[in-house]
Amino acid sequence: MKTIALISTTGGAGRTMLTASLAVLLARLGREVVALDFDPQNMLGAWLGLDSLAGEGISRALTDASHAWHERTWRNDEGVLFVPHGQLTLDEAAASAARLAADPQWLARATGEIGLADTGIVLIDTPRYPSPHADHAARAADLVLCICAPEPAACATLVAHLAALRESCADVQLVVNRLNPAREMQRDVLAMLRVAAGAPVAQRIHLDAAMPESFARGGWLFDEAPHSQASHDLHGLAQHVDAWLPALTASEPS
Amino acid sequence: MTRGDRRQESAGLRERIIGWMARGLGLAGERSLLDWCLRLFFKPPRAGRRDIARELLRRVARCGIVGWIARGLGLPDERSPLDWCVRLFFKPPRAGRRDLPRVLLRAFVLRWAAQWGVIDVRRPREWLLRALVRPPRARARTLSMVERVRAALDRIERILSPGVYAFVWISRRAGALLDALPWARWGDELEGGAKRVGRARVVLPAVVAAGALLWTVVGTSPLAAGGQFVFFAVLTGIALMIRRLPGRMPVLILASLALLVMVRYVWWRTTQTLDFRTPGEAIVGYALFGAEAYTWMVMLFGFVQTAWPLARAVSPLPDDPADWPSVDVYIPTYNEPLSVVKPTLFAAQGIDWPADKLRIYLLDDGHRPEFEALAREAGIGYVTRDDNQHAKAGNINRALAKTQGEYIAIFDCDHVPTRSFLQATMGTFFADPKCALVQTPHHFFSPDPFERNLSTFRRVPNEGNLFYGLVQAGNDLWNATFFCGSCAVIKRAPLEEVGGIAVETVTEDAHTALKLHRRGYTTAYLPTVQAAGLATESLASHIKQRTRWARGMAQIFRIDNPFLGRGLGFFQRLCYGNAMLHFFYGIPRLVFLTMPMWYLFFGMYFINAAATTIASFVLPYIVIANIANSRMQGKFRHSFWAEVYESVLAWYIALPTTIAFFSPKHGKFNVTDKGGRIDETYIDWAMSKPYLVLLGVNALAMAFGLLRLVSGAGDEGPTILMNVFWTIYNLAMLGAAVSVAREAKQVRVTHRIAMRMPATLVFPDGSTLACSTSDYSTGGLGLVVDADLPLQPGDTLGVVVSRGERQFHFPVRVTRSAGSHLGVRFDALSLEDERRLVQCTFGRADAWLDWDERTDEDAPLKGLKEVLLMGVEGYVRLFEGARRALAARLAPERAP
Repeated sequence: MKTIALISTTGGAGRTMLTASLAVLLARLGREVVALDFDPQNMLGAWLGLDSLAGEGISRALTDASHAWHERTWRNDEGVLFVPHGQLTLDEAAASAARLAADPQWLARATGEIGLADTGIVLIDTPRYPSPHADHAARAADLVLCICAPEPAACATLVAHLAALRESCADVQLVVNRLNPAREMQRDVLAMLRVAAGAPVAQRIHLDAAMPESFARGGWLFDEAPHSQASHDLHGLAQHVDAWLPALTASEPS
Repeated sequence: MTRGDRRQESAGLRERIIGWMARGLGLAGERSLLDWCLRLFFKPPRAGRRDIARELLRRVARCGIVGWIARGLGLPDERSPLDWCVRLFFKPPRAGRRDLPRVLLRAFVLRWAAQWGVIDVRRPREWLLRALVRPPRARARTLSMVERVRAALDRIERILSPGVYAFVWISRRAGALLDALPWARWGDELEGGAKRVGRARVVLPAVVAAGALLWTVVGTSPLAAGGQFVFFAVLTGIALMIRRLPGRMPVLILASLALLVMVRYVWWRTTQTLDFRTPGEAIVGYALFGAEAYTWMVMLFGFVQTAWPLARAVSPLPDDPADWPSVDVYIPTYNEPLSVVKPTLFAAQGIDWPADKLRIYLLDDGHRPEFEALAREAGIGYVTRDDNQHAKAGNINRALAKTQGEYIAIFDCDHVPTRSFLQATMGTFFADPKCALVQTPHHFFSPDPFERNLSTFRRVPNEGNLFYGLVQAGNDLWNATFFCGSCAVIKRAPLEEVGGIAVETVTEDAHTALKLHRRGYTTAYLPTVQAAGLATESLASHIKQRTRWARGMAQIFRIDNPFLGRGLGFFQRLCYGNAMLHFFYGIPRLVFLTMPMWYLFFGMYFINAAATTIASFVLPYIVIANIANSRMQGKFRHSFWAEVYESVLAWYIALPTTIAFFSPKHGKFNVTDKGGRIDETYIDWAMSKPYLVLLGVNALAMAFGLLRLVSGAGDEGPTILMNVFWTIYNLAMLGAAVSVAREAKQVRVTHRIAMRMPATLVFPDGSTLACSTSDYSTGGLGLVVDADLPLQPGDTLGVVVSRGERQFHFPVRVTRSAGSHLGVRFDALSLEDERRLVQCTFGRADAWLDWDERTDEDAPLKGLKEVLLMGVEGYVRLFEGARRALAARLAPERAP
């Protein structure tokens, strides 16, 4: 069982969208997938098919130690096992942050309790890095996918925090999201990012105006517009992760 | 007694009688009509046995007599009269096999029905009607000449087709059986055996000496005609077997077999056939002998030159780019338009090389201001000079003085280099310090006149393919690769040592390489295409170019003969000599094209031998030489195509080469050339005059010959027949030449190159679509999209293509949208955009990797058939063109 944390250093980079898309695409490829929402924004459920924001979730275990973190889980049509974050008041949020600061191994222990097959995968959605949640996720993960938009602010913050990320997790890969190649600035920023990060970009996801529309309709862009470049890119990312995971053997139950 | 009682009584009596009969017959219990019938004719079965008769009869009763017969014959439940007919005479097929008789019979019936016009074949009434009454004819339309010829050929084909099908089926089965043999393993064993022999010290010279002796003996021993044919059959069988073995050894074996047969022929020809009766005959006979001697020499040299092509690999560069030398890229131009030169400039800027070590220079002999403006805007050096002495050679030499790069890469202004050009070629200079030149192939992304007018683009290898695919690679083994004027890198120091590019001849490139070789430098040839350009636009310009080459080679042969002079190795002399001798084919080809008429018109015997003897020597020579050539060159030139190329050019190069040979300064030949775009299909009558003359001569000779045959030839018959066949062959070649002279209409101004690479469409509303390109040009792109798009011509879009890791966006306008194909035109590109586009498309390192991919493979007979069909097509086009020209001439003048 492998764990992937999707982290970014700016807001609006598309972490939740990518976590949900990856979860669904990997489930369609036959993997056992657990999507864990560790972002107080609590939006992962909406992407995966919940009608409303989930009330209870993993955050309950952070504020109240008597609850197990996996009390409230959902399974969607595609077979993705989903652990929501849950709604927190401001005081509860502060308490959970304190709890995470005090116990650096909390999330690692929690994910360690998940009993998936060797070919299974846990995807963790995180809030903006640096934050206690994101930090926990980076340290608990086998692979960190660093989501970055090709904008100057995003790249600057990413480069600044890349060293710390690499300390938390051995394997850090870059994914560029919301790429609009018609903008010359974005092309140049992409080239500079490659040089500054010292690593090639694992996957580029193009910006497609139909993406939020599909979300609003409750569907997936790769189902409604399968020939869109963004759909191709999402499939490419899923294939990339699928290749990184141990291979599925024929006897695996899907 | 009442009536009822009486009835009862009679009924009872009847019962008793029936029962008594039944018991007598052996019927028991339940009796049915079936049983009665059965027992009337058959005895009851013995105890314990099956009642076979009853079962049979039961089966018959169940499905009727007809069904029973059908079942017995093996007919299926769904039956038609056709099945009945077939099954009455043929056994049913085995499981899994096709029912051949039924298929054939059905095809026959349908054919017959089609001919008679029977629509519903199942109705006998219609058959009867059509047997007596013809179907109503469709409205008659006058068939054009081509259609009538085609119809006539179809009739002939229909008559011959059963035989042809049988033959094809047999040969296909034989071919499948032969393919199943382990050729690859035998090829490996042969190579292994040869290596072992080669390693043993004493064995190899002994084997070679014995082989040479045997070869000479076989070559010169006389044989009667019958023996000659047996020899021919045996050798052909061996050759056909050997050519299937993969590897290089079989090529050498086939070459030696071909040379063996040639030696026999040469020996016989020289010793037996050169007595002539009259001086006239002597002149004609020696002319033919001279022409044949030329072909023997060229064939011998050719075999030596190309028997073992060196497949040179790219050598690596030093790891540190600081050690890489500086390179100047020269792009000489004279009068070509800006649109042709721009892609070359942009692609040269995209060559992968440290920026401080790469300088690009545009050498403009035309002093044009727009070129200077472009060079300044693009950031390239602009070099010009006051005079135009010595054309391109002088241009380059002047630029040599003004620049400093250690190496010089030269590109013709329409040859677009890929980004990997220097990375691929410069390594060779490091591997061999004495190397002065690295040459790469010239590849053309547009069809040359042969390919365009004969429609063989990408099906049949083009004329240059043999040279760049095989001959230069063969030259490379003997260190005799010569400069071809473009797509090459030359080291500055050796070039300056020989005094720059040679100016004494018109083929300055080959002469420069010759001078370099004489000084002891080496040259290299890399068979990977790193640049591509435009082929000659029309037949006239093609002929002009080839005439210039021929003249130049003849000049070099005269003033700097490779066989004489110091500094060259034996094989280098041979290779250069062959390259130059190749261009003297004009006169021999004309001799061959006109020879039969000397006999058919004037009765001169130009070979003093019986026709059958000639056939018995010439046939083996032609057949085995073609098999050997097909194996050696088949990938680069299909069999018999050389005849077409030579026939087209022979007339035009004969005079310039002869004059240049005797007086190198003279012999300039001016060909008027329309140039540019061809707006409609037309026959270049000016260019094809020589072919028409030769055609007329040969046609007359053939007519004469046939007349003589028909009106009783006596024992001259075989000779006349042989000469008539020769004229027919000539006519086929000349027909193909005329076919090339018909210029096909060029629809597009910019040439499209097929390339498949991923692209993204960006719509105005922000959505994207992943697609791929199918072709590109400097003006637009062809895209293949999966979905049906609601696009109209004139809509604006963005297209994103990538170059390596980087992506580039171009604004485009839709020109057409049909199903999955989308055509877009580039919309107002800036200079920067144009450069990026060229570097994304033409400049890709993998742009020309499939340069020698063919869809058709070569086989000698197939090549012959191709060429003969070209000939026939040529005649059709000729008549069409003549008719149209005549009609245009005779049509009344239109009122303005």
